[in-house]
Amino acid sequence: MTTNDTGESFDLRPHLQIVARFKYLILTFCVAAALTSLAMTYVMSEKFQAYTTVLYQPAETVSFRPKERDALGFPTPLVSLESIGNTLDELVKSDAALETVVRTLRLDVKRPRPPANWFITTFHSVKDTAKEYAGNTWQLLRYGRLIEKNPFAEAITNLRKNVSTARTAKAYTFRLAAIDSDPAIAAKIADLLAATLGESLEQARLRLARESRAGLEARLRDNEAETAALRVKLDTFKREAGLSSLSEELSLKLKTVAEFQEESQRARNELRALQMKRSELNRQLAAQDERVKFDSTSTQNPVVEEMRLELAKLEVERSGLLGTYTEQHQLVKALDAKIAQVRTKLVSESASVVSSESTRASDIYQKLLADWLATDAEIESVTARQEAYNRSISQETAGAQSLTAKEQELTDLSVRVVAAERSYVLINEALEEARIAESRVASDVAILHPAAVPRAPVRPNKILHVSVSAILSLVLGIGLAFVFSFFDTSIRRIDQVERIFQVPVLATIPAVGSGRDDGTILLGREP
Amino acid sequence: VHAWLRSRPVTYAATIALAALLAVAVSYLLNRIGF
Repeated sequence: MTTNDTGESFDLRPHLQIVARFKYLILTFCVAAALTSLAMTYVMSEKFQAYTTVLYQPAETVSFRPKERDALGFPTPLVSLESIGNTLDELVKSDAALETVVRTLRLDVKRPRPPANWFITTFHSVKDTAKEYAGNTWQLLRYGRLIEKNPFAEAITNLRKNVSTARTAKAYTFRLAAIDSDPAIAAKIADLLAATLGESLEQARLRLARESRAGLEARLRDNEAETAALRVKLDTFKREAGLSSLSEELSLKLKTVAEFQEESQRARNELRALQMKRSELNRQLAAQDERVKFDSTSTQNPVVEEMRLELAKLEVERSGLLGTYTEQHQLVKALDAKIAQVRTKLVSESASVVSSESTRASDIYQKLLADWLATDAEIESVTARQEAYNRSISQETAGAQSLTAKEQELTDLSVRVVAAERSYVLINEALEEARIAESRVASDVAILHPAAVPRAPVRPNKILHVSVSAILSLVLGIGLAFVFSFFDTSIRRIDQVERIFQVPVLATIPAVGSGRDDGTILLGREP
Repeated sequence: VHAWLRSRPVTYAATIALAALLAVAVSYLLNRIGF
């Protein structure tokens, strides 16, 4: 007695009673299924598995450069063994490899079955016929018509199902297995497939190495031509420019320019001095009369004489007065005013009166004029010299500038030549590496051992077949018992009678002569 | 006919046939998936 989710009581007994009632049927079902399964394993063709072990060990590539473990700041990803395993699996199952095996071992030709008893022979012929019909039906359902059979393609498809690769415990070894009904052929398939795999991998590696080498050779030729052209260009440039050493030339030019500039500066100073001298001469010339008095006669002015006399008289009178009075005295002051008046008059009157004179050219003037003319001529010459220097300076500067441009070009060419030479070295190294890789004889794949001819079949696995059949049939048999019980309309127990008729049972009649004594009545029992 | 169908031997024969069919199907499938 159990209780279900809704709280109602759930009686397991009637269900167990059903199972108990159908126990012989269920047992028959189970035993029949197990026995049939066992029989099937005997009539089924046995399959043998042969395997060979393949070692995949990629050879380290030879490199002249130091190994770089980092790329973009993190380690380069290593190819996982899983990827290698998947690649090998794909290669093994590729049409090319399978085709080779099918063609070599003639797997497309139908092999005669080994002689067996009539039952097995009949089973196989029935199976083949059923298989063909099923195949045709499937083709009609799928394509709407029958496709012409191709034994070769079918053999390849079958073989693909029967070969497998598996990694053995994270090692570099892989197990290549082949399954066939003939143990010897299974071993041959495994061997041949492993050999084909090794060969195709080797060919692929060689092809890549060859392509790489050819590409590098072409690149190297291009580089050689480029380097040679650049060298020729550089030599031509040097020769045309006529320069042994540009920097020396340039420094010489700069030195010349400096010298000229110094000369020019000196000439300018000289010019300034001369110009000052000329202006001074100009001033002196302006001050000097062109002609000078040569001879003259003059007489004294009588008025002046008279005035001087009076002045002397007044001076005497003043000194007489100063003996009595101070300078502040009125009389002295009046006398001072008179003296000043006389003096003023004396100044306005000329001391002498010219009566006759003769002149001639001034010697000083002539000298000054000669000097002035000489200075002027000198200024002219210095100006001319300075202009000449300036012209030379500008010429030399232009020359130096063109030299600088040429030097730039020369540097450019030299850099390009050096770069080309460097890449030549790098390409040459890579080419040598590619040549070594190409000449390498060792393959990445090694077959560790040939496949042994298997002695025991891998399938069918009898115990598995029988147990799976038995368990499934048990489950299905119980299910069948419940189905039968559901469709069974007979009344078997007192509670069923009470439920159907809604009246209590007053008495029961025991089954007579059946040996039963469990209180059940026999109702609707089959005769 | 109804009674005959419900007779014990016929029921058992049908059961055995069904079990055989089941066993064949199981064997076929196991063989197919590589056991």
